[in-house]
This record gives sequence, structure tokens and C-alpha cells, in this order.
Amino acid sequence: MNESEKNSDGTESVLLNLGPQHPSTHGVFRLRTLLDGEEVIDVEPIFGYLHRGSSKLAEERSYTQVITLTDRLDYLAGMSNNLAYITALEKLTEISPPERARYLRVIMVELMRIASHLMGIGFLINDLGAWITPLMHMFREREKILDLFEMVCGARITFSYMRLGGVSHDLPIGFEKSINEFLDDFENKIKEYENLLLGNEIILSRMVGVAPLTGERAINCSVTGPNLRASGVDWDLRKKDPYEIYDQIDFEVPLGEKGDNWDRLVVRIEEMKQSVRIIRQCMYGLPQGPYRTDTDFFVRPPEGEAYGMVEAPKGELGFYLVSDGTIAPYRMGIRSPSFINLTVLRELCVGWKLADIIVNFGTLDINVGEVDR
Amino acid sequence: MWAKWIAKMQTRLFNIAVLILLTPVFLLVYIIKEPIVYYGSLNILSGINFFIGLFILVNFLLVVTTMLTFVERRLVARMQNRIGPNRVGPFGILQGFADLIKLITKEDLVPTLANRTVFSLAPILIMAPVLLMFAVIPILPGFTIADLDIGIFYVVAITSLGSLGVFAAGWASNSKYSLYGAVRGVAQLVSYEVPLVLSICTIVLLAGSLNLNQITGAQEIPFILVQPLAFVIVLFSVAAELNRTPFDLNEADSEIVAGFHTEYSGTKFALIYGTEYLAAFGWSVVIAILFLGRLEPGVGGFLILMAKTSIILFLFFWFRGTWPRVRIDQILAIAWKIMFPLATINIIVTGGAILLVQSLFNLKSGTPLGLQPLAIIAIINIVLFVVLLLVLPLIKGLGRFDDELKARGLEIKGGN
Amino acid sequence: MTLELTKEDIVPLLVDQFKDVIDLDADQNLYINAENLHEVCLFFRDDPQFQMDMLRYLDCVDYIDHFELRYALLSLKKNQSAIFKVRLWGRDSLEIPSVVDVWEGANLQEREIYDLMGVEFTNHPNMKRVFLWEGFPGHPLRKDFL
Repeated sequence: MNESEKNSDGTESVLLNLGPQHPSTHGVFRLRTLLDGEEVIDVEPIFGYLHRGSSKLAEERSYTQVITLTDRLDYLAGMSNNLAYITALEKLTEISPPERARYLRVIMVELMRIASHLMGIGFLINDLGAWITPLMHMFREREKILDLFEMVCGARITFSYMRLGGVSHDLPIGFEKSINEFLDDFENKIKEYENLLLGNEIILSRMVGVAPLTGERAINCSVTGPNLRASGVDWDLRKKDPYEIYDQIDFEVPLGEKGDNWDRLVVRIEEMKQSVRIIRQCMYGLPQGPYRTDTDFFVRPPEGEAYGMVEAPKGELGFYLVSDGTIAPYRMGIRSPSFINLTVLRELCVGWKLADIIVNFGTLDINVGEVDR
Repeated sequence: MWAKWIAKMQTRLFNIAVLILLTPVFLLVYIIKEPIVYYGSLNILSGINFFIGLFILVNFLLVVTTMLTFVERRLVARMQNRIGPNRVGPFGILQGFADLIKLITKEDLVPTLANRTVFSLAPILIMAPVLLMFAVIPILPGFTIADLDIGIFYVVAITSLGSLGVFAAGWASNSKYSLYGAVRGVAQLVSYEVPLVLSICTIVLLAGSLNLNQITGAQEIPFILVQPLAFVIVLFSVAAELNRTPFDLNEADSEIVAGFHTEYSGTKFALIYGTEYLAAFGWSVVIAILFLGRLEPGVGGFLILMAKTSIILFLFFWFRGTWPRVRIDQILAIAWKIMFPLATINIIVTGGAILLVQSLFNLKSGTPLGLQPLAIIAIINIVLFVVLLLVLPLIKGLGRFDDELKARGLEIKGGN
Repeated sequence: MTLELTKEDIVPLLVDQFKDVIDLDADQNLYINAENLHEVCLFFRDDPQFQMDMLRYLDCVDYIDHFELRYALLSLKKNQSAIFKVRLWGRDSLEIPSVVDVWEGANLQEREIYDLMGVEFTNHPNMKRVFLWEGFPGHPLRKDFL
């Protein structure tokens, strides 16, 4: 990007740096944009401010200790990260968890999906300019979800809940009552959010038709998750390649049509509704029994490799584990959805206005902890 | 070495030239005010009492400004399901003063490459017109500092000087963010003056005079009922003039940090920040005087006027707490494509209605209209309001997105 | 369920066209030569029996004497996935053709591998480091770094 390139009418473009310290709370990132007046010519995201070397650190820790590393990847959706890692580890060691553990995992992951989408939508509307009012309302619901998590495993953000062969804690007494209260209340709240947000002319005029992404382009750019489904592509790992007990649960996958900002917003709201359905079915069908199989303290998987993936709230999260028979992994590769979804940021923003950059970035629902790992 | 010294002198000469040109303007305004006040209608505020009244007024305004920062934060917080500032003083009332003291004691940074003189002058250029606006507003009903016959015209003219200050602030900061904010700000301020002035013209037509005291006196029926369309247009135009949500893209946190006042800190920032709330208070008082009915003289009238002002201020704070921002090209599109035609239709219909009423009741032009003529004009205007803003959109479908969204199979529940 | 194509499924479909590029005597994994990577990827994407339209994951592992790049492909239309690997012998000045023009999703993943492992991709539109700054000494994820 060269600032002194002349445009067709003789004016120069402006290089604007939406810097690392950003009032918009998506995390620490930097966007170098080249602007012609208000129109965007080029956008270059620069990341790496949150790179902690999780893959390298994992090579020095035992398999159970790595679970704590995975919490901190997408710090807003810790349960999904844990589940992805444990899925890979269970493929590697061929240990399978009991039924009750599978149900508990699905309940926790779907609760996490609701919490993550609430944050994503809330911060998106915040970036649009509604001064954190919808965000605060959504935080209220997220607080209830985090209280449920604290009831189960004692933590609110870094759970480390999943273990090889099951989960770490069973449900306490009173959890079922709390979660049913929450689910009943939450369905009303989703209706309230829809009424407030989806009819507002200002939100409509800033989101409908802005930054469309076609299905073929999304597939070619390896976009996954709600962004891909908003472009009309029917690909959800929970349906196409079911893991845990998703093949026994009845739910729908919402699809968008054009892949513009509006579709990405509405798909996330609809997914929250489907998550409520899944949680209700799981709580209804929760079997009794053990919640964890016995494994060694230091797990030594046989030599080999495995790739385990889940449908995280942000996309397809996968862990690639290579084992050489010792207590620590030889290589842990992380397929992080936010990082790969960023491929498409440039073509979403070019041609639109400066004010749309942040909104487009918000609809992609990027978490910088997951980008930088 | 000589070249650098010459360049330095050149910038200094430019700054001095600016000062020399601006000083007569300030002196002129000060000189003109004196004889008007002395020969003006109200003797109570002449002589030494003039200065006492002025002192009390300016103090009152500045205290109100600091209190408004607290009130806004508290109100918006309650809408967001939080509490808001409640620690400083009983129920947090002194929060505004704490903020003010903090800002004044902060380091006053001037960016290295900024134009120091214009950078320092710009907050004054922003604050001064807004303070000058209060010269004609009867905050204590019956008493104005200067009972000008061109009251409302003076208010609009003086506050449009604010855009000069905004641009000076953005340009002198020598920062791309500030420049973007300044350019957007000036475009927005200039565009929204047109519907504002057109709508105020209809009020002036109804009242028969530009004097604010006489406008309140002519309100047999509160003008909000006689001119609902003008009220809505003035409300949104003033929101755009004040750079408030939903038109506050210039101060958009998430994009260009803070717009034209990015580089300001300390007292200069306190001046700019306070001006926004001072102007909000001022325009709210003006809207209350123009639209919301008569003013009784004395302290009772003062309290009633403050209550009416609070209603309008509450509307502004409510807008801020609830709505997202409109993009800058959409802001200008709204001004020119929606508000300007509506204001023109309004003034044509109102002018026609006044002529009709004057011929019906055999009134001379220039006299204030009585109750019955006003009622007839009110009915005409309310019908116009309902047709333009409520019925037409329903016929054409609520908003332009309904067709597209229905094609996508999505129902929109709830209104705007 | 996503059908995971194993080596036995893939090799008969490839062997007539690409007999010389496949390393036929490796045990479980499908190894492809680095020079012919681009044609094989185009074949994977366009051939109607594969239709691998998404590059799911591109990863690199440092086995001390060689580097191994793992391409995980996904076909959304046929709901099947395939994996193949490319071996690069040695540790210095490793080069491999880039597949950005086949799958755009390889753009950021290849930059990450260059940044952390030191494998250069030729014909990449923007071969720069993505996490660390220019001038960082070394490539952190290698086994001999720290």
C-alpha cells in the first residue's frame, strides 16, 4: 500500500491506521487502511499482539496440562476449545467417555455458544454506535450463563472442564432447576432482542446489503461457522460430521441467503434459539451413570497423529495432535476459525466506506486470542 | 538556518494576522450589545445590574453544564441496566465537578506538528458562540440580557459560527483522525442548518415576530400541536447540530477515535466537551420556548421552563442511549433528501394556511393570531403530519427494506 | 458422516495421471512431491470424483531431518475429506509452491507457516510474517529454537 499513489482524479489516498489500542473492544489488532475520501481502497490487518506461542508451550506440557492452554485461545468460548482438544486426544488414545459425560459436554458447549453469540452480537451493535445499551442487556444474560458454569466447575472464563475420558465435575444439586429457569427466561429475552434490534431502521440501513459474500467465495477462502452459513452454504459439523451425541438430537441449522452483514447477524440470533432447543433435549434425556472413565495421570498415547474438530461458535475449531509416545505432545497444531476467517476481511471492506470497516469486522466475530494463539 | 527562521516567522505572522482579523469581530459584538441594552426595553438589566445579571447567568449555565454530564451518564446507565455514577457526593451529584477538576488539572498537550495558536484558539471559537447564544434567551422569563428584535435569527446565526471552530480544531491538530472528524463535522453542521432554519421560519410566521419573548406570548395553543412536523424536524436537526447520537459519527469511538477533538486534553478538552452539553441545554431551552407554550414571568415561570427543557433534554439522552449511529453519507442523505423536502412542504402549507386564516378572520398581517385561527392551522398541520409521517410510510411499506427482507423469508416483528 | 478418504481410496484415482509424483511406497500417508504440488491440488479441486473445494487445514511438523506439510482438504458437496502430505528434506532454505490461486484460504495459513517454521512459499502474493515482526531472529516453532 503506497500512500502517494494518485487516484484517477489527481487526489492522493490517505493511509489511516486504526491502531492497536482501539476503543472498540474486539481485542488488540491493527488495521492499515488506504482511503480515498470515505471509500476504502485497501485494508491490511496486522495481528500478532497477542501471540503467546500456545503451540510451542504445548510441547513442554503433559496432555492434561495442555487443557489449561486451550482455555485461553478463544477466551470467550472456553468450553468449545476444551472439547476440540479432548476430541483430538480421544481419537489419538481411543478412549471413549461414558454417555453421561457426552450429554454434559453438549450441554456446556451449547451454553457456551449462546454466551459467545451474545457477546458477538452485543459488541457488533456497540460498534454500530448504540452506546453499549444492547451490550449491557446481553451481558446480563451472559452473567446468568457464567453463574451456571460457576455452579458446575467453579470458573467463569477459563474452565478446563473437559478431561480425557469425560468431564471434571458432575452437575451439582439445583443445577437442573437453575438451567430450566434460565432457558425459560432466555426465550423471552431473545424475542425482546429481536424486537429491539431487527426492526430498527438505522441497523437495517447499515447492515442490509452491505458487504455481501458469495457462497463459492466463502468456501474458497476456507471460511467456516456462522459466516459460511450466512452465505447460504449448508455446512455445520454438528450435522454433517456429528460428534458426541449430536446425531441423536433434533435441531435445525439456520442459513442465510446473501451473506451480507444482516445475514450474519440474524444467523447468530437464530443459532441461539436452536441452542436452547438442544439444551432442553439434553437435559431431558440426561442419563445416570459415571461422568468420567479412569485414565492414567500422565497419558502416554501410542505414536501417531489425530485431528479432532468441533463446531465452535466462531467456526470449525480443530486440533492436530502428533504424539511420539511421551507424556507431552510432539506437535499441537490449532486450526483456529477466527484466523482463517480473516482471509476474507479485505474483500468485504474494499469498496465500502470507512464507517463500514469496523462493522464488517464485527460481523465476522473475530476473537484476537484465537487469531494469535 | 535562515530558511527555517523565515518559515518560523511566517507561521507566526500568519497566526498574528488571524488574531488581528478576529479581534475586531469580538470587539464589534461587544460594542453593539452595549447601546442595545442601554436603549433596550428592560431597564432593570442596565448599568451595574447588567453585570450582576450576566455573572449570575454565566455561573448558572456552567453549573448546569457540569450537572448535565452527570445526568446523562446516570440516565443512560439506567437504560442499560446499570447504576451509573453514585459515589461522588450524595447520589453522585458532584460527579460533574469531579470530572471538571480532573480535566483542568491534566497536562495540556499540544502535538508537535500542530499549529499552536489555532490549536489553542479553536476551543474558544467553539465555546464562545454557544455562550453568546444565551444573550437573547429568556431563561428567567421576562428578563433577557439583550432583548433583540431579531432573537431567533441571532441564535441561529451565532451557533453556526461553531462549525468554524470545529474545522479549526480538526485542521490544527495535524492528525488524520481529526481531519476526518472535522470534514464530516462541517458537512453535517452545514447541511442540517437548512431544515432547521426553514422549520423555525414557520414558527416565526405563526408568531409574527423574531423576538423570543413575543414568540412565547403568541402561543395560545402550544406550537408543538400547531406545527408537529416542524417540531420533529427541529428536534432531529438540533441533534445533528449538536453532534449527538444518532448523528454522532464525528465522535465515533469505534472508528476515528474521537474525531476533531482527538488531540485535545485538559482544559481545552473540557471546553469542547462542555460546549456540547451547554449547546444541548441552550437548544433545549430554545425548543421549549418555541414549541412548548407560554412562559409566566417570575420564579414560577423559571421552574416551568426548566421542566419543559428537561423533557426535551430527556429526549436527547434517550436517543443517545438507544439508537445506533447513522453513517455519514446516510446522514447527509437524510438532511437533503428527507428533511429538506419535508421542511419545504411544511412551510408552503403553513404559509397557505396562514393566508387562508387571515382572509377568513380578516386579520392584518403581522399581528399575532388568536386562539381560533391557531386552532384551524393546528388541525391542518396535524393532518399533514399524520399523512406525511405515518400514513405514507404505511402505504409504501414501512421502510425500504421490507421487500428485500420478505424475499429472504424473514419477518420483522416490532416497529422502528 | 464425513467420509474420510484413506490412501487406498485416493491412490487408484490419482495414479494414472500422477504416477511419478506420488511416493508409492510409504505406509499410511499419501506423500506428494513438492514440485508437482500445484497440479495435484488443481486436480483435487476440479476432478468430479473429489471436488475438494475447501482447504481445511494446512499444518507443518518439524521432524528433525525433514519437514512435513499436511494438507487437509474438504469437499462440501460430496461430504468427504482427504489428507495428503508433502515432505521437505533438510532444514534450510525450504521452498514449496504456494496454492493460494487454487484455494484462497491458504493465504494466511501459509504466512503463518513461514513465520513460525521457516518454510517459504513461492508465488505467494504477500509472503510476510504474520505474528512476529520483520527481523525477528529465527522461526520459533522449530525444534531447535530454544
